[in-house]
Amino acid sequence: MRARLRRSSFKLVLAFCAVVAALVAQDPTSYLTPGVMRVGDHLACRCGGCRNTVGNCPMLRCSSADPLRRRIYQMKMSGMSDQDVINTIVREEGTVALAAPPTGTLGGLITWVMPGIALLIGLFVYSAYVRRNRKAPEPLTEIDRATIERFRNQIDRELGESPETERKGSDAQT
Amino acid sequence: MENIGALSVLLAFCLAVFSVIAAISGKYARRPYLTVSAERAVYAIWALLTIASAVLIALLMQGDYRIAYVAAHTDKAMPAVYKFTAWWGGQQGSLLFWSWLLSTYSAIAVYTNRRKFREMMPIVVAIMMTTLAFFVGMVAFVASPFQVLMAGRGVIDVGDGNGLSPLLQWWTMAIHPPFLYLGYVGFTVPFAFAMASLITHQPGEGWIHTTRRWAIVTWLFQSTGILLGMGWAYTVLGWGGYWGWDPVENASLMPWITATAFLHSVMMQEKKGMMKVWNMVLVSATFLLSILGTTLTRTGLVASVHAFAQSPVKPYFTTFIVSATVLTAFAIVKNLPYLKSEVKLESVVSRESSFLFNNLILLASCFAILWGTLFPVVMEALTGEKETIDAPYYNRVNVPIALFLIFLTGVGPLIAWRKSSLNSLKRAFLVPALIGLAVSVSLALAGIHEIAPLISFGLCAFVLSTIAGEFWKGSRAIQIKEHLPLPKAAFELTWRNTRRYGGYLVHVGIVLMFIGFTGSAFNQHETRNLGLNESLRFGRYDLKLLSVNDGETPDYQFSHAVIEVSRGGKVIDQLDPEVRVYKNNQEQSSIIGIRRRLNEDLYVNYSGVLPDNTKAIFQIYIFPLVSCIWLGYWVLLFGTIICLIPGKVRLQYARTEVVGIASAPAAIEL
Repeated sequence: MRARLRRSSFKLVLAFCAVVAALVAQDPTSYLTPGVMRVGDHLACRCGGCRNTVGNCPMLRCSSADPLRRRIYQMKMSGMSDQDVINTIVREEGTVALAAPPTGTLGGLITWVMPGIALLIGLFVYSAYVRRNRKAPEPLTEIDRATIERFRNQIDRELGESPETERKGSDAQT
Repeated sequence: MENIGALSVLLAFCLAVFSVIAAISGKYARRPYLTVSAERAVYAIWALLTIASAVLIALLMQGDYRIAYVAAHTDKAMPAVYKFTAWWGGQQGSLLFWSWLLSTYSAIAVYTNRRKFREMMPIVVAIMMTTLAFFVGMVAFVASPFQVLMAGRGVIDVGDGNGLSPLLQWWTMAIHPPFLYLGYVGFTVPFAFAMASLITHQPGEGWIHTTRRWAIVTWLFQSTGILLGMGWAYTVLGWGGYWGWDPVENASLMPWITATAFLHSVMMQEKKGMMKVWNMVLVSATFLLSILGTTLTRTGLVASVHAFAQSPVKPYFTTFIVSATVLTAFAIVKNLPYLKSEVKLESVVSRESSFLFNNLILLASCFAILWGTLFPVVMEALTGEKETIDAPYYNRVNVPIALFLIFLTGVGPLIAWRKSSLNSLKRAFLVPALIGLAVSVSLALAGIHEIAPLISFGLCAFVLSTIAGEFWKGSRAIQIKEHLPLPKAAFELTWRNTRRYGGYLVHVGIVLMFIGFTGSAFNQHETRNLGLNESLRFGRYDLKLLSVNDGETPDYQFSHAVIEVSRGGKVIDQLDPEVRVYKNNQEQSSIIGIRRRLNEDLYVNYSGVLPDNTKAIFQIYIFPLVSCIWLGYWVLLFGTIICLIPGKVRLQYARTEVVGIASAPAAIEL
């Protein structure tokens, strides 16, 4: 009795879900093959709701990824290689279909190269900073006696006041 | 009532403008009463914006659907807590929330410094109030949350509102925006102090001492906000992703990176008087990137699921951020002589140098993200050519940078200040390097052959061993000298220098997060169909569909699956994934069944049913080590709190100080 109830409840739920998820026209698991996922990882899901690839877009009924997955499946079934499938889709939809810009276009090249150039510029600035700062210090100008005396007194005061633990702490720091 | 809110905002704007004028003229015309008046205006603005916010909250809570904002972001069925959070749920309300937070921060900053920094406080007030005037101006004139719905000349009450997306009706999402705002708005204060110190040529590092804790607290808010967003995405979206490299996510990460760099390099200025220009650039960059983040979110400049709808604020935000960048750059360049370092770098192999390098790498990461976020927009504007830059670009560029950063996190504590000899480096590096190598080799022997995870786990072990070594050496010294048990000695060690050892704990938290991120290299995923009482095997788990029940609440219809999880023939858990459809907008959302463990999470999303109604579809994932990310956050939080506690021993650092600018550089070496 309980099992029958459960079964009828299940049917009800399935009917409910069928209304809700009527967009699933075909068993999506049938074309989520490793080959489709592999190719899909190179292509962008452009539904606007996520920044995933066609391969890892989690929405089974995604307006962008789902039709593309079916197409990839069909192309793979017809014996096309991964690269051929990608090339076909890029030819039809442009490089915007790719999840990452290709190095073959000017925009793509700039996208990939710029972070490296920025890092090189940073390294250049760093080495210039190090070189400049390792020069011998410039000679000090004359400073009035009162200022020097003030700092000497400060040194005496601080050294005189420092507890043992403080010096230990400072030693540990270095 | 909405008129009171609108009037309060208008008055707050007028007072903010007055405060800027009074602060500047008070300082330069030497009229102290004007300066005091400007500071008091800050308190009055806070009171006015509090009134405006209270009015908006009251309108949201009582469901006054004459108000366009209330109708757009709430409905009658929403729980009260989400009606409250609708305050920051939409463009107009969030601008008011941002303004209120900034006014609160400004009032606290002015009150706590009311007897200090008399020379630079007027400029601090002027900078904070200029920023506030911009945001309040947006609320008053461009994007008011108090607009009523009109039909012809009559006000209309639509009876009920659109409500909030069910995906956002989640506790982490309720508090994620305020934490982010607390972090990003908060950096206006260190920025204002830094600029004021620069403009008024303040000697010493007064602004750093004043704003150090402020910067740490706001950084903690930023971290918390980002982690809350990640936690929400992981738990709610149904695919276990916690970071999607969405432009708005990137916009929240960039100021966090520059703030992290600032918190490191600011120590150099405090202890050594070095990197002053750099710190000024970093604190400014953090402020400007925070504004850029809110610009990206609000203007629709980049396509993002997080962004608010297109609105008329775009030209104003663009003008503000461009003006702020130009003025900041001008102020820094004009005052460069006052930012001269007082100490030379003695060796490339020194802690100073490693700090500099760490900053460079952090900035490189920030630039790569900024480039990836904005370049498609620039490219499209210039050439009309569209590019998509998604996760593969960011992962490929940032993974090597992140690995190098982890390496530097371990190296930093091992290198001495000023100069390290080769022998001391060998001594310090040998054990941690061997531990890191041993971990990588062991994992390779255990069957892990991907290079990046092997390097990452090895580096994480290296860093953890350097930090453990630091705690061990220090604690042992105290244990021997003061005859304390080791845990008490470790406690004493931490208390004596909370900044240093709290900082190490923060590093442990970051390393734990990296362990979690690295675990994603081994994620498993499958989409499978299950009929009633059918089982499937996934990884080490056997999953059996026990039952499916449906029902409805006043808000939504649901279908609830019960899945039994077994391993090795023994039942170990039961998961309850659910799919919901909300009645008012037919929007679907999922409640994910997650079995959380430290080593891996089993994650089951109930996605619907097959067209022939025979089976249910489940997306099943295994996420190894993902819990380390959340654990890492708690350690980071604990470490940051330790950093904020004053140390038992007040350390004094021998250093130099600029006492004035003469025709030739004048400095005294101490």
